[in-house]
Amino acid sequence: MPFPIHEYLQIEQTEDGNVELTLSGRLSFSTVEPLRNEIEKALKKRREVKVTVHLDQVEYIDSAGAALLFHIKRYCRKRDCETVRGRSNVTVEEALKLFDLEKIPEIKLSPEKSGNIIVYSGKLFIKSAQEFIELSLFIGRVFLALMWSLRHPGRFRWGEIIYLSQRTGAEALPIVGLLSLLIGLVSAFSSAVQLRQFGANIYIADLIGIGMTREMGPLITAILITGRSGSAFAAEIGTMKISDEIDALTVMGIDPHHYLALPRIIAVMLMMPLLTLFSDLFGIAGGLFISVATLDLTPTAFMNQLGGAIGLWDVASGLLKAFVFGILVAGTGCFRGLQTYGGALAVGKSTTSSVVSGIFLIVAADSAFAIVFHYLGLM
Amino acid sequence: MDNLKPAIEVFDLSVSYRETEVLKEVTFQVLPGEIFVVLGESGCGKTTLLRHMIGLREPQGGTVFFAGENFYRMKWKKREKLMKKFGVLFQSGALLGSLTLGENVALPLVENTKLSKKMIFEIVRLKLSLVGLEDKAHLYPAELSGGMKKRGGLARAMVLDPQILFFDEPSAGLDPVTQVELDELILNINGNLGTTIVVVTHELQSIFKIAGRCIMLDSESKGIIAEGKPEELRDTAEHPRVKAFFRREKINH
Repeated sequence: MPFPIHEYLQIEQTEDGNVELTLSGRLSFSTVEPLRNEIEKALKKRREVKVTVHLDQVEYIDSAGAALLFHIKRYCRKRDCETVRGRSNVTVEEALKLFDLEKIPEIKLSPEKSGNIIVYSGKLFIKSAQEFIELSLFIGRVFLALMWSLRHPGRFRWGEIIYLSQRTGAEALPIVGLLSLLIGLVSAFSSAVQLRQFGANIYIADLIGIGMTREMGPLITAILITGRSGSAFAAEIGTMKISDEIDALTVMGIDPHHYLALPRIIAVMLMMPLLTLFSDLFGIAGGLFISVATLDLTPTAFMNQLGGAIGLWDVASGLLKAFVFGILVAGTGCFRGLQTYGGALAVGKSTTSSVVSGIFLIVAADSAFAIVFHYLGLM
Repeated sequence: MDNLKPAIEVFDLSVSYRETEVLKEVTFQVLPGEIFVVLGESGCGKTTLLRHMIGLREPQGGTVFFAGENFYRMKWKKREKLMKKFGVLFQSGALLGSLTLGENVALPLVENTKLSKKMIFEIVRLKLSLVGLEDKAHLYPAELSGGMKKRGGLARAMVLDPQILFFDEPSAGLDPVTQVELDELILNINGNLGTTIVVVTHELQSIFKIAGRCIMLDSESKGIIAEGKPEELRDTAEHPRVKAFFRREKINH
């Protein structure tokens, strides 16, 4: 059904070229839109005329109606037309008393964006530099907190470490185990096809053993813990930051780096190698299962071969990496959390960036380890 | 006012969190077009009562009627439609942090009406000018002060011209001057737009200034211990807690 515009609006042109608008009925959220269209259409071609708006037949007017009147006024001003309030009635006067149509200034709904590439890259550079300074400060402060704790072991939050170890370590066991088992299965299965072609079935033990202990074990665990605990740290500390809890700690004389960051970093640092050990174990179990099921190996043969293939260093180097990954993961989480500024949106941003930079740091550190081990002849 | 149907009727409302009972069989009525104040000491269940009146939580017992209709017995669709006729100002404003103030105020219009951008813009401008924030429209809530957030929340609560406005502690955390301005604003909205207003507060000055009628909740009896005009309660109340509250005295046990 088309909108019955003539029940609401009469537009008349007087002899001297001026316009008289008569609005009637209900001016509300559901009626103003077609009225605005019609009025704009009528005024489009006119310039420098006087527009008189009569409101005496209006039965009801709400904010949308008031907005319409205001819009007419502005629309006219843009076309150099003058608006005059004509006849009116009590309903309208009462409703419009709240708004001073003359005084309301222009507003902007969203902040202005600067689109200049030079400005943009400059801002990016400043931001990176600031972030570098913040990161250095964070590392320094955590290190100081650690030194202080070593001198005052009684003041250290041992209970918190145990609780956090349970949360980040023990509670992560099922998912770490399951994921490692599946990755062990998949990598064994895809290499089994190749090895069978060369009759090198038995070497699957070497492949899975070395692959899991040196690379996959620590990597899987670290990436999982980034998603599971690093993000949780960032969200938790970030929420504390935006609700002034961090500031409260600071003014109570409690260093948040000592109180929040250090226990988290230590807990994850200690739990990562243990979780990695489990990851190795489950990954190899997956490999064993595939070897027995598809490559006709006996479990004994697999284990014998495995014993010859991996040495203490293979496992130890994996655990060493896991230890370092743990520091990176927990440190990034806490750092991003403490960086949070603003509202709920900022917490989301810190959580995201804790995971992104956490995973980036893990892979970067892994590459660094590969290079260092290579040049030290430890591969 | 006797011939008017109550705008809100709270009937036998009982609420408990886990084991603790907060409200016990609370019954009262809010008449259309009045400013109704719920008051009481901290922790007596004022905010809890408000949350149940706006349908955020279902009560354990009793119900709420809006214009004679049982809120907790109606279909969800109808309830949603009814809720659009409420405006609620939460304690800290509850502006969405990912949107600017202007976008926050525009949000109900964008989601619930078919208005064009131009008209939405005009309405947002009117509402923001009503609370004196028209020059802050492009700022994010994180860049606003507590009082501004509250006023911004009010602009958003009013943007759809609600029939009933609920205020949760509107003056808490505001300076006296802003408090008075907000009280004026509440009176203005009530007087000029005829909006029914329910205010939860314990700010004595505000109560005397704005309240048409009020009820006082008490944490000991978990219900209403006084009902009436604030001046009457101040002058004639017998209950020691009510007396203490209105005359700012210590309770003598």
